[in-house]
Amino acid sequence: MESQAVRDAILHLACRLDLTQGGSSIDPRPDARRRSLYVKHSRDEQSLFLAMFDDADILACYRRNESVVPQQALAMANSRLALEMSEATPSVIGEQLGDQEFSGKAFQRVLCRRPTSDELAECTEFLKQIPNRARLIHALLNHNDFLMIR
Amino acid sequence: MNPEIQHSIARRQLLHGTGLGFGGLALNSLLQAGTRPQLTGEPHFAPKARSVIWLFMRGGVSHMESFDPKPALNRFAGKSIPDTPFADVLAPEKFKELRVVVVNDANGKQRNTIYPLQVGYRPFGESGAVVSKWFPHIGSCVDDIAIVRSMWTTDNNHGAQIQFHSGRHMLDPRAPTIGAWINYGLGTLNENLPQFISMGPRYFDKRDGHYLGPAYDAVTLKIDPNQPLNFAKPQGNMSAEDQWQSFQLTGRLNHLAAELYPHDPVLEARIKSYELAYRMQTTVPEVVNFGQESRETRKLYGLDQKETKPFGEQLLAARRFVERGVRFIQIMHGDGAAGAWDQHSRLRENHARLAMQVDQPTAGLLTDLKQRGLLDSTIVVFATEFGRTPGSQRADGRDHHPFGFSVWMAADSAAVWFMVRPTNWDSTP
Repeated sequence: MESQAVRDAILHLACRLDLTQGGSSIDPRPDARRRSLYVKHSRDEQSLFLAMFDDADILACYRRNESVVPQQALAMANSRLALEMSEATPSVIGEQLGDQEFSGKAFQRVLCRRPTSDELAECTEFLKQIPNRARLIHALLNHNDFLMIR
Repeated sequence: MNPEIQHSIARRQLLHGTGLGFGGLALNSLLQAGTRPQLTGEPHFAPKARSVIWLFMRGGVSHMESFDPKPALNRFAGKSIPDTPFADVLAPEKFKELRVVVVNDANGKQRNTIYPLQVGYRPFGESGAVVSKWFPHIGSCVDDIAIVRSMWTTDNNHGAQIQFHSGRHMLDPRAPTIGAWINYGLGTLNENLPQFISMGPRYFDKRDGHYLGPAYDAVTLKIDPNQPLNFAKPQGNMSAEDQWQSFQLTGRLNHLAAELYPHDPVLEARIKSYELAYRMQTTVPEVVNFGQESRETRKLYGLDQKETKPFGEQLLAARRFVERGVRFIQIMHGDGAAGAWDQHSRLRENHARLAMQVDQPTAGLLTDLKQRGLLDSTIVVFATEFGRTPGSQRADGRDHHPFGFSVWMAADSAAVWFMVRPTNWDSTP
């Protein structure tokens, strides 16, 4: 996915994406919630998170490259955006669900597919040992299939 | 393809699996054919160099006031080139190689009024190579370096930076840069660190890998033990333990996905990049933490003076990366769109200031590498995109000069006792 779609998708998972249409551009602050389309993007002002992923290159006719570099992994693992949205997503999926059902729904919400039985077993085993569903969401956000559309 | 979701074999999976399968069989039989000579993988000459430290001065250093002083400029100061005995250098054939990107640029013109040298010069070392007095420390190392005074380029503007790194003109399609090639061709010596590191300001082109793929782009670092990489630490309440658990689960799930999609290069690259990212979080801050370096070493790199500290820190980090097996460390000097060395005016003042920032740290790096025995396996390159005109621009500057400029290299001492053909008095090749 291109960088704007990555950011919007992370916010959307937690139902925190502000879908307001129109208006002026916004500063690229890490706590911005509007769609990435409205985030300022110039030589001097650029969102650091967006810049880590495949962003339009303002110095090369707005073309994009496809990249897989370790800095992206660090942004997904450590950015405030990814961490806060991981915390907020479990309540959207359903607090009252059992671990297995939660894992299946989390897989579908984050990766848009059902887990295989092995994958489901990994997730429920994880929650049994670490009863923290935000950690599971965070791990799924870091899954290759979140960034990559097959 | 997920077998539990879709039961029939997908078209792509069939093509992918059988295509690679047949190809693999053919290749296998070719490689095992008994009649063919076996490739040993050994080159004719054992390679000595393992790493490169690449120093690049952005903007265009005056070759005449650095590593190729031209006394004749003082003799003919103020004269026009056609009024000197060297009028023939202005023959139009000499300019035919140039490919101009922007025609109406105020810069990149011919300048015919000879501008005298703005600084003195003297011979250094046993070789007696002449170096300007703005670079006394590098001058003192002159016996360990090979100056190449016959460089030229076909871009008369700062796109020459891209040409220098990739070998292709701005008007040609983008090609991988030298650091990407070395990363691609030589592979890794340390699984815990990126193999191609870039520090300092970048040039116009933000990528390096181009058709080799994004995995060969440089990893950009800053000298800050707390935050050498962007997003190097969790920006929220997550302990190292939490992070490790999440990371491990991601790793297991990615490996499960790799069983479902066995020939997915992006997935493979992603798994590798996650593993490297996780290790980099701890290894990179350790390399840019100079706590264990002695006072003498810090002084050698000029960390005790504010002018030389920023460049010195990058060079000291470069030595520490070389010790840990990083292949290519690229350090750019000179901020600004075109690069700070671009002195169309006030050359004397600005070149003196910039030379001071790099001279002592660079000599310190050479001395340090030599005394640690690392110069035998490390190549140090000091380069810029073009020289500056022998004629003056405005009252006190020089314009871009693609027809002749100087770079130098330091490596194993046996290799450096030569100096390539000097440019002529007026800096044409």
